[in-house]
Amino acid sequence: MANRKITVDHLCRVEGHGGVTVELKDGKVDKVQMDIYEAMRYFEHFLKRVPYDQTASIACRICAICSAVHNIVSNQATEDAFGVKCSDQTNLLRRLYVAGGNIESHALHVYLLALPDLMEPRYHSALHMAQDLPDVAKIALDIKKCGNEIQDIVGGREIHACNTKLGGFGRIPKKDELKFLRDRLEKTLENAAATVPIVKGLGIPAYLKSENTYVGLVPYGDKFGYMGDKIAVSDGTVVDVHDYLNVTNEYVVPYCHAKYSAWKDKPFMVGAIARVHLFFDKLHPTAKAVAADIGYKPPIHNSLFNSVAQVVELVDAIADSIDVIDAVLAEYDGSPKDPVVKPKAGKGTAGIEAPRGTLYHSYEYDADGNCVGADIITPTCQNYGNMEKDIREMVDNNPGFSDEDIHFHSEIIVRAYDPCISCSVHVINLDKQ
Amino acid sequence: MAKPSIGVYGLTGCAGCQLNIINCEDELLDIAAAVDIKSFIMAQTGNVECEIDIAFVEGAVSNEKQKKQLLDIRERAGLLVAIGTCASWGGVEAMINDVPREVAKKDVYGDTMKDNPFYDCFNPMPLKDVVKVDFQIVGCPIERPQFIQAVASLLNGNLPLLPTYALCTECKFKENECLLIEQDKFCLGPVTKAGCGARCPSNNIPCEGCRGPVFEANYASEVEIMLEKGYTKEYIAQQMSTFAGTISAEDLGARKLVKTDIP
Repeated sequence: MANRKITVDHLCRVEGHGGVTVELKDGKVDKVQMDIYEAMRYFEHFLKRVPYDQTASIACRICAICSAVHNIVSNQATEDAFGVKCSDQTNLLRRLYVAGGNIESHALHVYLLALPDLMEPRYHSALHMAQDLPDVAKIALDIKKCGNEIQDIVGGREIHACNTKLGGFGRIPKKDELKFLRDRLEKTLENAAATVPIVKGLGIPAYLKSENTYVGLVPYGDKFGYMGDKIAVSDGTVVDVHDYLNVTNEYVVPYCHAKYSAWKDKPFMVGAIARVHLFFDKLHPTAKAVAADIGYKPPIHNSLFNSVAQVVELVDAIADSIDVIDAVLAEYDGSPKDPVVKPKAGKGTAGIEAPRGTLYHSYEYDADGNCVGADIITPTCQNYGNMEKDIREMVDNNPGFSDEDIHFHSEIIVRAYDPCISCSVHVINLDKQ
Repeated sequence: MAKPSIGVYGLTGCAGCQLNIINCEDELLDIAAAVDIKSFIMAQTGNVECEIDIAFVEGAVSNEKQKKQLLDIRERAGLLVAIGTCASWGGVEAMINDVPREVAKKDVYGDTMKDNPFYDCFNPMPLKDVVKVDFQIVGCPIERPQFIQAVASLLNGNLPLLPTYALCTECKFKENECLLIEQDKFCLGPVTKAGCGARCPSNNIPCEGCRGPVFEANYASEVEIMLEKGYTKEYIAQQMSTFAGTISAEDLGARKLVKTDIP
């Protein structure tokens, strides 16, 4: 059999610039590699110049889609270094803000980026789909809009927050703003439920059968969520977030300027499918009901179902945000309650669950609060190895696939991970041993 | 009459300005109906790189491949609009433009990537340093209403009218307490282009200058006030170049803002 080389030049409907190359030798996969075209921005250089109270605001510029989580986890890492404790109100509002980012990002990915390929007939985009199915597009956009409204009111802007800071917020949202968001969330919950029949009917291919290793942060408390200080691996291992490097085990590959990760020498997966796998029991009852309706029940190892797991999480984030707003309103205090922020020498680390998986920020400061070391590990980097594993399996399990089929399915596999390529190459690694 | 054709492109940046186009949730379907989107890689497959009426380009130019791509877009586009602070001023990645890229590369990767062509890049440039730019919509990210206003104006054959005054003006309209004068905070509102409604100062957070410089500003006076308030000249220079490291004397019609220039 002839040798074949299939190149996806430019992945569409994903954030950032990247491609995939698949090479077959005698009908078997010889090589799969991610090609990343992003130019380096060298964030590591600027963070050394940026005062500590602006680190989060600059670090969030790594990526627009993950801006909310970059911002919050960056502040939390610096707070960890300086020993700053935030108020309950701050923690609740951060939870709400992060949920807003998640609602926006998941709605964008599921309905606008992933869906058009999984529909029958296929569409080039959600805008093309809107010509045939205007109601679906309008509902999807309205769900997405609700996520942006939360980010706008709580974070100060839909992308790159300007109301967040070390220790909390510059301004606490007014009661009527929170009530407005609560009403919008009620409506959005109905909208999300209305998409369930579409999600149920998606033609998701079933050729990915091998077991995934899943990794995610253990949410604080009894509820499903995106913040925690312990990392769980699906083999039962639990690691403190300060020891995140023992989980990510990064290595460099010559063909890509993003670093890869491995757990016990094997690729692993982070993101919605991993979180729902690990913490299904903690989901909001409303989200559990939607999962049952869709027929989504872990363990699921077909990575392409990540988009369906995102729908379950979307419902969880909406329902949970309503509860969070009720909790804030119950003990409402319009003042920001700023804790004292005083720099001190040392290292600080925090993890957060970005829409597409676990994100770590770690900084080292001198006594004056100058950043002397920084390390950021993004979810997409951690997923590259697993994407390559899945593409290999897709080709191996479908010997009849034409070059065109391999091209198409490589693209939907990568897209299912909801990758953020800007993030993945702006890895910061200043720690010089 | 055929619908005007457009293309949306991204160079080096965070994709936030492109995302804010997709974030026009209430208007997106109408925009898509009013124009023919030939290329928008972040939002659709089946893209065609042909002659277009308007190109919207996000991000700074930071390698040869992007330079070639931008020249090609310019060749094909009737109008070229820079969207965002990276495309207009270089953005945060140009904050270290006083250091050669080689130094930054060595600091981050050591010598391991010295001969790897993937890592070849130069100091990020705004689009206007490479091609003729017909219009700029600034912001990190761009404000959605300004994008919509720009599209509406361009579809009617006009160049959009966006604010040319300082952000301070918007802050005064909002009757916010002045963070600079009253609270001694380092606020760049007096020298930053308006258009965001003074978002940060309205949240009690000083303006970081993410929308880039405004031409008609008294830079010397801002520097003087900051020095009086006890900020060092290094700090002032760093803050002023955070989002606009490529700023030049010609751009401002004033003297160049580099460390050595500040008294």
